[in-house]
Amino acid sequence: MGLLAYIAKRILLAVPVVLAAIVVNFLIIHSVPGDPIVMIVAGYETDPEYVALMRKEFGLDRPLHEQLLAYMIQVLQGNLGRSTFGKPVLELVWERVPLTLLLMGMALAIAVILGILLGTLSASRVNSVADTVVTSLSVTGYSVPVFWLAQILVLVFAVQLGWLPGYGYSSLKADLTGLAHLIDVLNHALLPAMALALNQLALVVRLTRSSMMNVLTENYIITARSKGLGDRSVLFGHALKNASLPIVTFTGVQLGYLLTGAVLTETVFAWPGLGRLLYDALLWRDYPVLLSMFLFAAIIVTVANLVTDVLYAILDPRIRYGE
Amino acid sequence: MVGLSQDPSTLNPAITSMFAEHQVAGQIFNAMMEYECFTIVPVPELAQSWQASPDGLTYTFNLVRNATWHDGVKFTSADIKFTFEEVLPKYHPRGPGTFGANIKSVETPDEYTAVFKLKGSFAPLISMMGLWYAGVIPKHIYEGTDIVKNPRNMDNPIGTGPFLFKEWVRGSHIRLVRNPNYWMKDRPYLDEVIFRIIPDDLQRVRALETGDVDYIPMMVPYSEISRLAKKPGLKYVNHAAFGAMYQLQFNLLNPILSKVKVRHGIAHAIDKKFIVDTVTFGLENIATGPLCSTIGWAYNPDVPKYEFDKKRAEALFDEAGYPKKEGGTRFSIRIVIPRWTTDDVRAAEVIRDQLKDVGIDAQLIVLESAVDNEQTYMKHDFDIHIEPRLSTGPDPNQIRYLYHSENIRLKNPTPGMWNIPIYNNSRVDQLFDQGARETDMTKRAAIYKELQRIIVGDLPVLTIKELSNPHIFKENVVGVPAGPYGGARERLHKVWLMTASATTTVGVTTPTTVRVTTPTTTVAAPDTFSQTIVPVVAVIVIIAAVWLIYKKRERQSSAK
Repeated sequence: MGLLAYIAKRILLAVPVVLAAIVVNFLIIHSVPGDPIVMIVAGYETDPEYVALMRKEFGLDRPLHEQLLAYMIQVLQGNLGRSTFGKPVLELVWERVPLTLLLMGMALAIAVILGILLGTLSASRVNSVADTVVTSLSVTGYSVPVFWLAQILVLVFAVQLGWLPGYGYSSLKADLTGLAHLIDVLNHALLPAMALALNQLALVVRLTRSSMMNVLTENYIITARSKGLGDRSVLFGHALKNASLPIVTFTGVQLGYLLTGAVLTETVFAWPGLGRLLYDALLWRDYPVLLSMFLFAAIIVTVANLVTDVLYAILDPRIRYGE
Repeated sequence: MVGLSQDPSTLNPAITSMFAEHQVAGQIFNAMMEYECFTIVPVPELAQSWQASPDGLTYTFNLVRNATWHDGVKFTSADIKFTFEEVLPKYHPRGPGTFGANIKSVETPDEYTAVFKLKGSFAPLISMMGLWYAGVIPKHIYEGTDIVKNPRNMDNPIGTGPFLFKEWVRGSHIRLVRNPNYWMKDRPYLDEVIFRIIPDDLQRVRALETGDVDYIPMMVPYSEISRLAKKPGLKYVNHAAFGAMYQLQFNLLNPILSKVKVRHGIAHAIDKKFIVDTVTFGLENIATGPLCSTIGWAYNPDVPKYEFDKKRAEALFDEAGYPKKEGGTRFSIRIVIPRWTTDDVRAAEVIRDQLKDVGIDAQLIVLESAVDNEQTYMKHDFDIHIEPRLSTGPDPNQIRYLYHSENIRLKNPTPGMWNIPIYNNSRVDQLFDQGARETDMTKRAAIYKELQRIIVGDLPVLTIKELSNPHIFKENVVGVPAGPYGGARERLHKVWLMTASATTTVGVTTPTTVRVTTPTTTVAAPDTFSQTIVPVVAVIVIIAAVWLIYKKRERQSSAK
């Protein structure tokens, strides 16, 4: 079976997975206590007439299976519905996507590039001072909770040193356009991306180090060295390619975790991305937005897995699919 | 630049009673009345003057004549009729009880006169006409549409207020600009107001420190205040929040708590002063009864007092038939509290411990607010419910929801406030009914004062403290509304920014009406920076050292 057929088969298989995700998410969300009306009136005195009217207005007075059926039909027609508070869900999600992708992209780039470099360095000089420092830092980095790290980054770089902005995605007081605006946004993204990247970075370092250490003892490396190739050529030209398989798998899986991390990071840094949307929707029990966010996450994870598997074939010619 | 905790769920002030919503919508819309921010007395806004008929059944309002909606359409009495007949009675969370049940019709003899005909005398009407309860929305935009889902609620809302809507980048900011045609002469002063949405309480404070934000009107963590108050360039104002109180609601269906002596004993066992001094850093007032002291005209300080007295408490429990059993316990109860803020939960922890001191095995159950609502209001499953920030104003009629027996909804429960203590006292019901009908303010005050005496005696609810609402702003921000009704609830049309040159010429730095309370000095200011950075460095150093020693040993042993 060719690669294209394999991809087509995987996409077909992904459809029932995503559909099942919709149903499960729907049931989970509706089994959690509270609904949008409760959130609107919680802690306030309220008239029963108002509650009844609002439940009707939002279709919450219908039986659950009817609500589910209506929702499924709507999604299959490509309509994600409207947020409890009026805006079309697709519009809400879409306006957040670029900012979250930027943040996740930057975080992933920092984690993978820096992680592979540090991990390789560490593996090539096992037990050296550099190795010890890198390993200790990666253990620390992995143990630090994201929300705490975020606060510290703001305190140090925004409040004390004043080097980087600590909130939001752009300077609101200055009217910036074009390139200046882009630089401003990137500047704002740096701290949240660092916060989001640190855990991943630590993991990539550890993974690269152990994977490289395995590969470096293989015969073909000894052959390469005996041919008189330099350190850099051996490490990056020969060893890294084979050592990178677990890193690719890991990165694919981590996309899902990055989205989770984005909820915390975006909340602390007031970054208006998907994570914040999810957080707000959860607080408000905004069912249509929540369901769409989970749907979106399910699709991202499914696609990421598919891309990972395809990358495998490209990196390692020995891997063949469907045979 | 104003720091806001969350995106508003709507910008239509006529269908919501929430904070972030009104904070922004309040700049775009007007109401019939505004409140004077210290006395909470209604002052004219869209209604420039009004007369009530002697029987209290007819109110005639004379409306402002030069107001226009932001799209240029003239504001008239038709908008008032539409808002009070079609919108508020149906779609405002408190509309059916406040307006629907009381207003028979709104007549509009001419463009600038609105005559309200009531079903029966209803004295709280005027004080319920502020923006919080009755924002006025345009008939020409909303008529014939789905009011709740109208896209104008979220984009380009059209109001009569001091600022025009410019843009809303969800999750980031809302930008409003000066309304050049505002009906109030020479207002507003500011060219632009930006609400920056920063959900994390501490980060919002940091944004003020870094200069990204000029003013935080609410939700400043108490623990940050003593530190911020010392910072040069910042100013801070504290006052009791508008009627909100921290209170313990007893479930009177519980056989133990149904005994008044037990409830009195619990009141004696709780040291309110300790809670206020430690948990809230002395920034809040001790509560005495069901009404907040900020509602001055109706507040009654002369109610039964339950001084902190453990011996008295223990004696009352003994008398009620709950002596200490083996192990020192008298009885067990469950205290349920929603997690709004950490401070709320901390106060509940202190209460639990103080009850344990007198032999009550109290279990604290902290729930997310929606779950709490389900458990207490829908399932009515609790012994004591703590409602940490329940509003008791602007009119004392507000607390009717909690104490009048008509609001016992055991059979048909609703989320949101109702009489969950299951308190039933016919005299109290009678007084609430009289208070709502009586138009003479002196007589009304007397009615509510008697009510407070009776309720504190019966004690279905024990109030602990009156919430504070500290706001912090930069020194050059002048005219910040700073009374109990200030902060989130008042308009920014009187606010202006002082420039460096203005400082020397004007020389005004303190608005004379601002009451500044300094935080108690007993509590050391937490220096967050050193508190967090020092442990980090220490941890890193220790880990590195342990690692190095381990490696050294390993190398030595392998060398051997």
